[in-house]
Amino acid sequence: MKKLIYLVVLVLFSGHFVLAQEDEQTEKKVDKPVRSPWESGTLVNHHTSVTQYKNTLEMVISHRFGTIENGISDVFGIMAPGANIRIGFNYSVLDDLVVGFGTNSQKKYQDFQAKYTLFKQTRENTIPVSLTFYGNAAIDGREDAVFGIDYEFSDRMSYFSEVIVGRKVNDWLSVQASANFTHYNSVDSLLDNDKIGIGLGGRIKFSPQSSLTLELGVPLKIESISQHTSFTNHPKPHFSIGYEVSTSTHAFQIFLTNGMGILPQELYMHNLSEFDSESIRFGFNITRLWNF
Amino acid sequence: MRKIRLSLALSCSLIVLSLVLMSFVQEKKPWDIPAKYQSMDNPQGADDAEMIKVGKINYSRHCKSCHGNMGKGDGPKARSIDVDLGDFTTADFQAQKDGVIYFQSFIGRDEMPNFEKKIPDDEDRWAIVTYIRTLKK
Amino acid sequence: MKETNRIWLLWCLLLLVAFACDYKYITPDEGEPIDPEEPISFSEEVEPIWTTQNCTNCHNGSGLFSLRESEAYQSLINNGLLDLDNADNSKIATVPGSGSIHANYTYVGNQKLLITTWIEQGAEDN
Repeated sequence: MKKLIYLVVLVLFSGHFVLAQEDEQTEKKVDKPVRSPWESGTLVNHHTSVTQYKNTLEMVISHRFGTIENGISDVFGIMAPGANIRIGFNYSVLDDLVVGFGTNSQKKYQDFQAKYTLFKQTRENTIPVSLTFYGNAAIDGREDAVFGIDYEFSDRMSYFSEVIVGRKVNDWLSVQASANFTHYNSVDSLLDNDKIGIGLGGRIKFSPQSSLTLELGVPLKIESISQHTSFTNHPKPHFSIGYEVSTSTHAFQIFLTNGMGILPQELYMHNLSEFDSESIRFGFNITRLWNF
Repeated sequence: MRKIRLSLALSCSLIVLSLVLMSFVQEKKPWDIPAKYQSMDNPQGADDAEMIKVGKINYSRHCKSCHGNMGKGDGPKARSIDVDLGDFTTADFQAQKDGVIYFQSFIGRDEMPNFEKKIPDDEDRWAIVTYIRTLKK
Repeated sequence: MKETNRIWLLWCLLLLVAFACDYKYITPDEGEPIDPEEPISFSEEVEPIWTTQNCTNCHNGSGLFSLRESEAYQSLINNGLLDLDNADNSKIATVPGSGSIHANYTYVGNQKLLITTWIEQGAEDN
């Protein structure tokens, strides 16, 4: 099954050769990509098809507070310990290719990511959807002892890859769906190293600058890639609901989510929090753009 | 005594001079618009509803924070800016040619940022100009 | 030309990922065995654990009980973190590594065993 996954990924990439010719033909018709299907490249934890124009530097600050279970005593988790933060920088090498780096407080992840939008939905609907590839590799930066005996550097690595299909339905509604694959080089003996998941996202725009965002990530139980006969500590789906405001240089997102993780692989492999009053938490993402 | 009177007179005249000069700075500095922009015309119709909508969204995102909802130069950021932001509702402003407004909006000068890289699409830029035209009182 | 460069870049990234792939289970390192007969010094062997494992990032006395040196023993007593009848059941042993707050703050090696053995020896402030 693992070989099949590699084959599928390779085929998707080689398919680019064929699609590249179609791209050129569409460009001659002067049918431009739809305007702002999403306010920024990030939708809470997932990524969208939006990539900034070439030579734009984006700084992303992500914060997940503690859970709201203690109520007002720690201001619904805002003052609680047990927060998670990520500071990242993304740079648009080309109009549709972004590379980035980030550092996280959870597990001291250092992550490297790249996102490429193969084709974008056009205004005349000649291309009805946007197709985006996203991948990231993260290094768990904790002490060696965490990885047990026989420690090797590669034990720290985890990978995430995703294919995102998005559509701006109309002026106020955009939706996206994604299929993704998570791999951790070393896991606890009760877990699987691989996880396949489905992601869904939506944006409802209710004013020129503000929107409501929704996101769901579901890790799937697929027996054919499982290394065990039953699933132990299978990760729970992560769900977020939030509000987003965007300006010329910033996008501000504030939301309620159940997962503590910021990196998608952490959420798809290790999230054990349900979306209930004990496990949900506030979080925010702020992005800032510099154009060069 | 004479020296004190002299230095007092000097400092007084300097204060008066600087006040006079400052009043000049408050006035609008004329824009130096290149010929290429002087002859540009807005390819979009003044009542193009689709473009006005696009222009409004872009205006809200990029311009409103300084220039205000109606373009009067009363946005939240305007307070911290010294120069005159202009008033898009006035007849004087609207009398300017399309290309002049285009230059002022996207090339800018001094505290008015350059938006060429932020809004690289020409159609989007003209849509903003079309929208600004609707702000006329 | 740009198209070709783009494709090469993507292939390189993919290959980079493929070569670093591995499938491994973590076998926890139990650390050196502990002799329960040998007296364990709190201040020299047990107390530094909470500093090494970054517990003191939050448990530093301002808002949360302190696990810093010369303050930790009092915190253990005052907050009921020790269970002298059943050492393994002590909160100081069970809480790290559990729940949403402590999920990423764990003991490694033989630290947990060291703490529980010290409790079994009487949990003295030695």
